[in-house]
Parts: sequence; structure tokens; C-alpha cells
Amino acid sequence: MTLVPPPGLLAAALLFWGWRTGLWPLVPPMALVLELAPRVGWRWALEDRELARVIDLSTLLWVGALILLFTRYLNQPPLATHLYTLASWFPLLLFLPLAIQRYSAVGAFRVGHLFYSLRRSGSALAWQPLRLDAPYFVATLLAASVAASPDFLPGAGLLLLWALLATRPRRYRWFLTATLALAAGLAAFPLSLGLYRLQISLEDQFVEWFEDWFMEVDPYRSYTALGEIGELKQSGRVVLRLRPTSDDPGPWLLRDASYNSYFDGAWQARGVHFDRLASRGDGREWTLGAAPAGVSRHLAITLELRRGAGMLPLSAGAWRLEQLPVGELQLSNLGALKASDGPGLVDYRVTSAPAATRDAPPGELDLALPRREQATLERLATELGLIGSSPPVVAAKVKAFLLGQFRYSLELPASAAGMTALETFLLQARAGHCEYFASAAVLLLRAADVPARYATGFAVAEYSPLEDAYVARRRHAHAWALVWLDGRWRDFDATPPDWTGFEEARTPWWQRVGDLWAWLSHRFSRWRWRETTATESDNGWLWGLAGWLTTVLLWRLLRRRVRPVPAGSVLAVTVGPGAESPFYQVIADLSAQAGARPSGETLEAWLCRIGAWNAPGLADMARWHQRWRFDPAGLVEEERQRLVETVAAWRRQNSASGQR
Amino acid sequence: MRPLFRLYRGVHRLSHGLRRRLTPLGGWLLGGWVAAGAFGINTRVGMTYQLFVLLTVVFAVALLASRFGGLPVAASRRLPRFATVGQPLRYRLCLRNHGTGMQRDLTAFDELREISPSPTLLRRFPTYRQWSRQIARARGANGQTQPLPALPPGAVTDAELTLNPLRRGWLEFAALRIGRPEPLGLLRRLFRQPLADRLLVLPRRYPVPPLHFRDGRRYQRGGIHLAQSVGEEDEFVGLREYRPGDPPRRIHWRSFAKRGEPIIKEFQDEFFVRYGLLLDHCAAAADDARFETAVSAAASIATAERGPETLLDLLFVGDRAYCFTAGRGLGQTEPLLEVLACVTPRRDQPFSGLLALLAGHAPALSACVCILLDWDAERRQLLDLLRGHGVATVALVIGPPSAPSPPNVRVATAETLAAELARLTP
Repeated sequence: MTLVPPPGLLAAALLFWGWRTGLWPLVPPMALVLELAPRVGWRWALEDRELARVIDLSTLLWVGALILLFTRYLNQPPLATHLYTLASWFPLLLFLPLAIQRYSAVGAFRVGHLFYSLRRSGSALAWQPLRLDAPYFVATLLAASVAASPDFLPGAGLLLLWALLATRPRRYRWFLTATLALAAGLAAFPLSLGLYRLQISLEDQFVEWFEDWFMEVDPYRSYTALGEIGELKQSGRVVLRLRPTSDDPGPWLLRDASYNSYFDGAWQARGVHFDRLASRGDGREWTLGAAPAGVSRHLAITLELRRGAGMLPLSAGAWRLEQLPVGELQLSNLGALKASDGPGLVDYRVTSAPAATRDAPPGELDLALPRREQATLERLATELGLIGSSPPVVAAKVKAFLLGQFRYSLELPASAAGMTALETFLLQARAGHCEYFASAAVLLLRAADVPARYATGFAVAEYSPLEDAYVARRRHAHAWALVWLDGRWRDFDATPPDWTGFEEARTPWWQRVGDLWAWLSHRFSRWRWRETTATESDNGWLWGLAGWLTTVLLWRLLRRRVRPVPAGSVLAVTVGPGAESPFYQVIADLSAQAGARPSGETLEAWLCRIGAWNAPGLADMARWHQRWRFDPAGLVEEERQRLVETVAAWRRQNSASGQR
Repeated sequence: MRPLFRLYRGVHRLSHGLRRRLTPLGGWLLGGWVAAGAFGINTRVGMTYQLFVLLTVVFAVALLASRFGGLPVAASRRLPRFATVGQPLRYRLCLRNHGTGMQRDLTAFDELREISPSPTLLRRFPTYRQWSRQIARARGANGQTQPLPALPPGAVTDAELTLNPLRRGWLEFAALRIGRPEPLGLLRRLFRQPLADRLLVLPRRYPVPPLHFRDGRRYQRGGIHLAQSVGEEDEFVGLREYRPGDPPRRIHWRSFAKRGEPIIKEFQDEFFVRYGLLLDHCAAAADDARFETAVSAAASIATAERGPETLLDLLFVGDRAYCFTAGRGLGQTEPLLEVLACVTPRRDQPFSGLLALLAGHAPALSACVCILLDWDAERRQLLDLLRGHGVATVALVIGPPSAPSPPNVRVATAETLAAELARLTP
């Protein structure tokens, strides 16, 4: 059973869609192409594989649209916005196959065209005809509903009423269908309003129930694994890439945050405040402080920004950033740099000089000791002879103490009875990971009245030949101390330097595969970043591809043999000789009056059975029709003309007798 | 039932029910309803929720409207005697409209009895497609909802329905479902007519050249009429005058009385051609698909043209040893096909049963076509037995055998069966 919408319905649906979505300039040509199809006197004689290619082409358009929206989503979440955009494009994306269907001699695709698995299958499902008119109508309604402007329901209701009236079963009178459809449409108004209010009410309830459950994520706090038991496991995923563009041997400590207050295993940045920086030049250059004297070094850092925002890891002494296309950059008084409104991937250049500083000078908090560990720390400082020593000496002693008497371990031992995790590390276990070493170093320095801070970031030392860059993996996340020496903050890393080797020894064998995958996805990210940070015209390749494919399609279609159909005839849905015979109209009329001809009955037997065979001229028309279809010689032009005229006369007479 | 199958059955019922109950426009609008539900989940964004509500109400009205009114149509089904696997089965429905108005826009489909597929046929974790294929196969046939012609009041109208048989054996019709659309044209209400019936589906058959073997006729003990039995009687051919030396027990006393001279009953030994068609039943080494191919091969050979004097014995082992004979008035080919339509593989019966059956029949056979499911020592022994009795033998192994077969044994798969059968006779 085929389903053909009445003339004008699809055009009206397209107008409605264009009006609501603002894409109305596209509507007139689309509507014209679709509605003119029954009135033109030719059809493309497309073969099955050519129809399959049309579906392939429109699948490519869908894929292109999905890629385009996906790249947009990566930088401009949420996903729902882009799904709605996709929905609003449905009539555009389905237009090509529908237009081809309407202008093809076959007049329908088949289900097998949609799926490669079914395309060559002989199953009945694969050969079921598929007409896109009805799904196009539904998709257009859906696309029109995406726009938030009001007055959707009356328009959609009227269009649906039209469709239901046109396709209603003929056993019912039109006003019954109309009454029921109108009743449904009227009931939909209060119900949709009720649904809208129900959601608002539910949302309010939800917020009331769960508001205590949700906590704001505190960006000013760093939780460490101090005191946890077990084994620290870190992944080998590459999170950052670094290319030194000047003579800089590395390794590098790239700091993304620093903290000044320790309490019970957690470091906090108290008294911190962020200041918005102003961009310079092309909007991608940022200066963190005054240009220092001395030689500057340059690094290129590539980093993925989740949802276009995040902390930027920087080397010590960084004072200028270039090629950083973010909308906003904020610098904290503790030297942390927060980016937002940026693309999914940034590839920025960092200029640093030893004399430059972006951190505020030390304050009281940089000398504070946690109450629980204060006694232990002070005792230890005394035992190590830190009290009264100059800051450089203190730093040297602390480093010697930690490097000489402690070892690196990823084991997380249980705290000893009556001791905190840090005390257990300092007095008993004497083994731990970087967070222990950094925390101990900061607090021991403070115990000797040397200002110190706790810093987190990445230690970059691994060179990847595959990427031709230094890479920092997730397991290279590191913590170290900042110490105030000679009037500026310096990196002070007291973790045994073999910790990277310790980590490398635990590298799983499959990491090379993972690295290859990471590199491929990074290449994709770079492409994606170019796509999304540039203007719309950067999607030109996509539009260019679509345009090229469409041109090829049009060129191929225009080269096709076209088959004439008599003007005013309905869309032919059969192929083969005689498909354009006007006698099909007589058959349609008789089928409507007496029921369709069963497939097992010959045309003549059917006409005899329904009593039409003896009608004047009908037997002749049937014979001409059959000759047109099956006689290899076909009908000569005169006979065709006579058949057309006889059919027209018969139909006039038939409709007149029907009206009487 | 395993949870996976329970899930599949639920999905199958839902999709089957929707396909039968939704008109084409109803199907597309239901798809739109689902999409509108997904896109309209947030009523603050867009107006898609309004489309969802509109379609919900329209379907609710359609569902309500479909409940009103009945269907004054009585139907009966006229089935042919047989159908064949893979050949569309077309049959007629006789529909009578008892009502006063014209019945239009009706559809119908036949509801076949659902049979659970054998667990051995299903993999441990079949995909839904594999599972539904087995369900359809167990049911026996696939059919689409088909439109019925307009039924004038009081008139009897014929309609044609089509089914595609998927397997041999009995097709069990449970009921006829006639669908009537509601005024909005989205849903059909299905009216059930309990028309239980059954139809035998014959195995798929391929063209086979006429069966002519070089070896000639053989003496048949007991003649034609006792072709199946064993006895001392020869075949009666007529009466003739007494010749000296004729045994008195052959005198036809009634004719003697009429003619007044002794008339002797003349007997003649019967020699005719008797072919055997042996079907291997031991599917232990083979799968069911292979057995189906073997049955197809046997059915094709059973329907092949053979001489008017030729008998064909179908030999196989079911719960016991069977021999069915067709030809020369003993039976037609149809019963053989009926037997083949219902034969099942036996994993519990040893192959020696077939050997014992053949040992009794081999002396009477002129030639034998053996459809084997594998090639091994026992099957080699079977062929040796036949050749020992001088029986011309053609052996066809279905599927790749587990041991290499000699050159005079042919090998066919489901794909090459037609070609092998086309050049069957030497």
C-alpha cells in the first residue's frame, strides 16, 4: 500500500517549517521542485543501483551534517542544542532523495536501498517499496517544532488534519475524520500546557529534594592521596605535549596551581583571587607581567581544554603567552592561570625568563604550620638543624634529608597509631609518592621560617619520537614545593629524581598501542580545533564536498534518458513499456468503485466480473492498453492518441454518471 | 525460557503487533511520536513537546475510535493440497459480507500457530535476527498483511492471500485476522476468525534428468501385485489349451467345464526395473541443514521421470525401517513426497538399521541412488553391499564429508545440489 500525500501538503509543511525556523528563503525552490513533479511530462529512468547511489549520497550529507555538528558541540556544548539544530535540518537532508523519488520513473525507493546488508538480499523486506513522502511530512513537522517561537500547535494541527483527511479510509465520511481530528487537536492545547507546567513543577520539586546533595566543586582546594591506603594507580594517557622552541634541555615542571594552606591531607588556596587579563595584538597574546631583563626561553604547549576551559600549566618564570585563542584568561595571586571560552584544544607559546614572577610575595599563610603536625615538624626542624639557618641552607638541608633518607613508592601504607599520614611518612614509613615529599618539604621549610607553597602540575621529561615532542602523561602529574629564595619563588622538587624511572618501569606493554591511538586522536583534535575556532567559512571543505557531490549527481541525472509521461497524469509507479498508458486512470476509477483487481485475476476477467467489459469502448481501450504494454511493436502514435481521447471521454462520462 | 529469549519474544510481539495494527501513515506518525518524545523531553526548549502531545492525543482518539463497531464479514479459506518450500503459496479466501454497507479498506493476514524452535537450532547467544529467523522457520511461513477487495453487501467475494513457506512439513493455520481501519486511518482493529486448518509443505525440489540406468530388469518374486511380499506364486498372464505335461493343478476348471476340454492357466515370471532411493537418516555427524538438503535431493529424485515399468522404493529408517514403493499401480509419487515432507533425522538409530533394510531389498533392485550425509566405513560397506548384488549405484554425499570420498561418490552442498542433480544419472 503506497501513501501519497495530497498535492500541496508538502509545500505547506515546508512553508510552515521555513516560517518557524527562519530558513524560509530555501522554501520556495524546495516546494516548487516537489510540487511541480506531477505536472512535468517526463521522468528519469533511473536504475536500481542509481537509486541506491542517491541514498548513499544523502547518507554522506547526513554524515557531513553530523560531523559538522559534532565539531561544534565539542567547543560549544551542550549537545542538545546541536541535536535540535540537526532536527531543524531534516527537511534539507531528506530533500534530495525525495526529489529524486518524485522525478524518477520508478517513483519509489526500496527498503534494501537503506541498508548495505539488505541491498543485495533477495528477502521480501529488501524489495518492499519505500516512498519518502510520508516520512518527509513527519520530519518536516518535527523540524518545525524545534523552533521555540509560539503558534506551533495550530499550524501543525491544521497540517495533520489535512493529511488525515486526504489519506482517510474511504469507508468513512470526511466529516467523521475531520471531527475526530479536530477533537484531538483541541484536546492537545490544554494537555501541552499541562505538560509544560508539570515539568516546571517537577523541576522545582527536584531542586528542593536534591539541593543539599549537590556541592559546588571547590576550585581552590587540592585533595591529595595522603593517608589513603593501597596503591596509587595512574594512567599513561597523554595529557600535554611540549615542544621547546629555544635551546632548553628540560626537564620542565609545568605548574597549573599552587596552594598555601594544609589541613588533614588537603592543600587549599586561601585568600586567592583571580584577576582578568587583557589580551593584546590579535586577541591571542597575553602578558602575565612586565617584561623581565635577561634571556627568555620559549616553549610550545599543546593541551586539551575540557569544554573550552581549564587551568593552563606554565613553566616557572612564564611572562607572556601567544597564540592562545581563549575568550577569557584569569591569573590568580598564587600564579594559577585559568582559561575559559576557548576551543577544545589550545596550542600556545610560552615565553619565560628566570627573573619573571607571576606569584604574589609570601604572606602569613606561607609560613603557617598545620596544628596537628606542628609539634612533629618543629621537632624535626630542630633535629635537622634548620632553625636559625639561612633560607638557602635550609633548602639544601631539607632536600638532602628527603633525598637521602626517603625512598619513592607508590604504595600507600596505613597511618601508624596516633600519627597522621604525614607524620607516618616522616617518622616511620619514610617512603611515599610526590605528594608526601612536596608536603613534607613545604612544611619543613615553613618550620624553619622559610616561606613555601605547595605546587601541582606536570613533570615533563619523556620524549616521544612518534609525536616529535615531549609528552606528559597522566601519571606524570607531579607535586613539588615553591620556596621563596632571593626575593622570588623558585621550584623546589624534593622527590627522589628516580621517580620517573620508577614510573616507567611500571609501563604496561600495550602502552605503545595506546600512544598510537592517542597520537591519532590528537591529530583529529588538531583538525577539530582548526574547524571550530575559525569562522564558519572554514567548513568550506564540507560544503565544497557537498556541492561537488551534488554537481556530480545533477550532471549524471541530466545525462539520463528521460521518459515522457502524458501531462496531467498521476505519478507513474511502474516501469516498463506502457507505464504511461492513460488506461491506468480508468483502472484506478474502477478500482475505487468496485474494489481493486486481485493479483491472480486477469484484467479482462476482472472487467467482466465487475460488469465493466461491456461498457462502450472499454474493451477496445483494454486491448490497446495491453498491446501498449505487451506487444513488442507497441502502439503507433495514432492509436495512442485515440486511447488518450477515448479514456478522457470515458472518464468524463463516468464522472457525470457518478454525479447523477 | 532464558531471559534473552524472553526479551526477544517481547520485542517480536511488539514489532509484529505494531506492523499488523498500524497503517503506513500510522507507522510513520508513530515514528514521529517517538522522535517528538525524545526531542521534546525538555519543554523549555522548542515546541516539540507540543507535537508529542498532539500525536499522543491523535493516537488515543484513533485507538478509541477503532473500538467501535464490528465487522460483519465471514470468511473461509480454500487451500491447495500441497505447497512447496520456497514457492509462494497463493490461495483464496471466500468472504461474505453479511452487513448492509460496503466494506472497504479491509486487510487480512493468516495467523499461523507459533511453534517454539528446537533449542538445538539456536545458538547459545543468538542475535535477534537469527532468533526471529528460527521463529519464522518453526512457524513455517512468512506472510504480509494484504489488502482485501471491496465487499459489497450480501455478496460473496474471492480474495487471494500469499504465504512464503520456509520449511517442509505441516503448516498449521490458527486463525484469519481481518483488519479494519479506524476513521483517522492510523490504526487497524484486528478481527479474528478462528479458521483452523493445515497444509502439507513439500520439500524444495530441483530438476533431475529421467532416471535411466544401464542395468536392466530383474526377476521380481511374486510379480507386480506382490511386489512388496515374498511368495512362490508367479504372475498369471492368461489361459491356453492343455499341452501334455502341464500339471493338473494349473487346470482352470471353470473354463474346462465351459469348453469341454482342459484349459490351462498360464503363468510367467515377472522381470521389471526397480530402483531404490536410499535416504541416510543418521544426522549425528551432520547438521539439520544438511539433512534438509538431503531430503530435497531425495524429493527431486522421487519426482524425476522414470519408465512406465519402473518401481521406486524409498528406503529410510525412522523409528523403524521403512520402504515405500511408487510406480506401476503400487502408489503414486505424491505419497512419497508426503513421506519426505514429514521425515525427521534420527540421531538415536544406528546406521546398521539401514544396512539391514537394504540387505533384504538389494536382490530385487536394478539400481539405487544413495543420498548420504557423510562418508565413512559403514557407508562404504553399504555401497559394497549394493555392488555385491550387482546393483548400479549412484552415491551422493551431502556437504563436505568428514573423510575423503572416492571419485565415484559425488559430493554436493546446498549451493551445488541443483547442478549435481542435473547430471545425476550416468
